[in-house]
Amino acid sequence: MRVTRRAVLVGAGAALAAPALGASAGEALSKRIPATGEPVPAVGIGSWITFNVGDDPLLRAECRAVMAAFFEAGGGMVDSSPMYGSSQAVIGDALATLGHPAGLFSADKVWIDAADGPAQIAETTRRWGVQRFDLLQVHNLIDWEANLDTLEAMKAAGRLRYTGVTTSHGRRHEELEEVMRSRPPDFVQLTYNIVDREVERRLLPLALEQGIAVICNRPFQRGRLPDWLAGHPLPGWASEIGVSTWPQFLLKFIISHPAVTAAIPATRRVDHVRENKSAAFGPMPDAAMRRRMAEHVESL
Amino acid sequence: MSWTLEDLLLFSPQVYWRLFALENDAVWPAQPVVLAAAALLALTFIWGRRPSGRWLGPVLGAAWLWTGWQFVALRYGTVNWVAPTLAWGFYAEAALLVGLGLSGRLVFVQQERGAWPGIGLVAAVLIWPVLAPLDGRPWREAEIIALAPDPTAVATLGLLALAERSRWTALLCIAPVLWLAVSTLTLVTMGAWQGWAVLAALLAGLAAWVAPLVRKPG
Ligand SMILES: NC(=O)c1ccc[n+]([C@@H]2O[C@H](COP(=O)([O-])OP(=O)(O)OC[C@H]3O[C@@H](n4cnc5c(N)ncnc54)[C@H](OP(=O)(O)O)[C@@H]3O)[C@@H](O)[C@H]2O)c1
Repeated sequence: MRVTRRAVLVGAGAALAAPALGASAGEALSKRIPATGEPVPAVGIGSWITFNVGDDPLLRAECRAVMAAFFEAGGGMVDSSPMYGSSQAVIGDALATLGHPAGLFSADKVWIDAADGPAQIAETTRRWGVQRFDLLQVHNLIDWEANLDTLEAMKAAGRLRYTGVTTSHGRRHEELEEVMRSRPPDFVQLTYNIVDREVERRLLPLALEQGIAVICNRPFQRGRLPDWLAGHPLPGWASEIGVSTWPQFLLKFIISHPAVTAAIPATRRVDHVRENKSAAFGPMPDAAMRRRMAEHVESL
Repeated sequence: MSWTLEDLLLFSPQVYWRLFALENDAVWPAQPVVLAAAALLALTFIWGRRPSGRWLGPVLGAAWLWTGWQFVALRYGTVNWVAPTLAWGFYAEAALLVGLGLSGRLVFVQQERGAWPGIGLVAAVLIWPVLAPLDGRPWREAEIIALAPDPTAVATLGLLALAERSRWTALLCIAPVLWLAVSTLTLVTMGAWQGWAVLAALLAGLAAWVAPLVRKPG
């Protein structure tokens, strides 16, 4: 599916589209998974809190609309976990309603002692209603060695495409580094955003070196960053990188890092998912611009 | 960066409040019936009568069973995987209320003084439904005794403050106190001011239960 900047921005609403429509139409940024070279859209979607709406019919309809907008804008990685309450079932419901759209890169996790891992994965698969997952990750390193055994066996048997390990909030980075060195999975997921940048020192360079794909969670610090920055004007030079809103600024900062494969902002708003997807279009900041962006946010 | 309570919260405030709307839709028109019953109960105490624990225990037990099962386990459980476990506390409280009530161990007594804190807490659940509109939310999201856990626990603490103090009634305080503590943490973490109302009711209930023991000479 070829998604143009125009298609996404027209959907993103007049306020967003106005300054950007003049830009040349281009394709959304995709990044290659080092293990295979397969491209994935650089902006995916998370599901922590936002999609945990239980059986509420009204809120489920809102989630379906968000997922529909996500796939209209090119789709990509959808990330969930057994830890996220009803989120998996809500995603499954949306996928079924949307007729299992092309462009899905399904990513979930195993979050239990390895002995119970296979049963949990079976339940997760049932909730999503997929044949198999593109990516399964060991959530927060729980029983990681034995769980990775399970995932690697599934991959070898053709029942899984990629393996991964996750952390968040900057915790347990040393342990993650140890995993990346001793048993590199296809993917790691960690917290990275314009203010939480500790991973730039060791983990991101190591991922490049080891050929591990990187998924960035908490790109907006759970929504705190857009809320806080909304009170500040965008710097004039933001237009040089095709940015007209703070969320675009925050996402471009992340996905332009050479080691990063995808950012997975969570949202329950159609306008926000379109805005987030729009960040994958247009010029991307280079290393010098990324430094400038971080310094600017630090100075606020 | 380190863990905060916020990291443990799995759902948004909107999702939580709408659980009450869904529950209210499902059981309408039970609300006016249980509220009228609660009002009558408060009036009974205000008039100086003391109902028998032999029927009030099982009735209150039924309220705990229903709330634990229908709201905590089945509805709250859809967004919080801890909830079905928490519901066991509600079932235990229900069983204790029925058992202690029927066996005559739950006795409502004429207190020398100070029945008002207990009566106040029972009466508080009559105004509890107003918290939703006070918060700018629809009446549909009102929390009603016997259907929603907070007012059920608050009324129970009020009634226990009106009962004879014993090891048994102390045991009956455990579930409501623990639930209200959990609820306070949940609501405050959610950024909802109702958490402070729950905490105030919890502290008032504890104080009302303990006060006569402290006052007792010797
Ligand atoms: N250990 C792990 O494996 C782990 C840990 C943490 C997170 N994750 C994954 O990473 C995902 C992302 O992290 P997160 O959900 O914690 O935080 P996040 O994506 O940084 O922030 C989500 C919040 O940002 C707001 N938002 C999204 N788009 C916006 C926009 N365009 N403008 C303004 N606000 C916007 C959303 O509110 P609205 O709904 O109002 O848009 C939402 O409240 C999670 O959902 C989860 O899938 C994994």
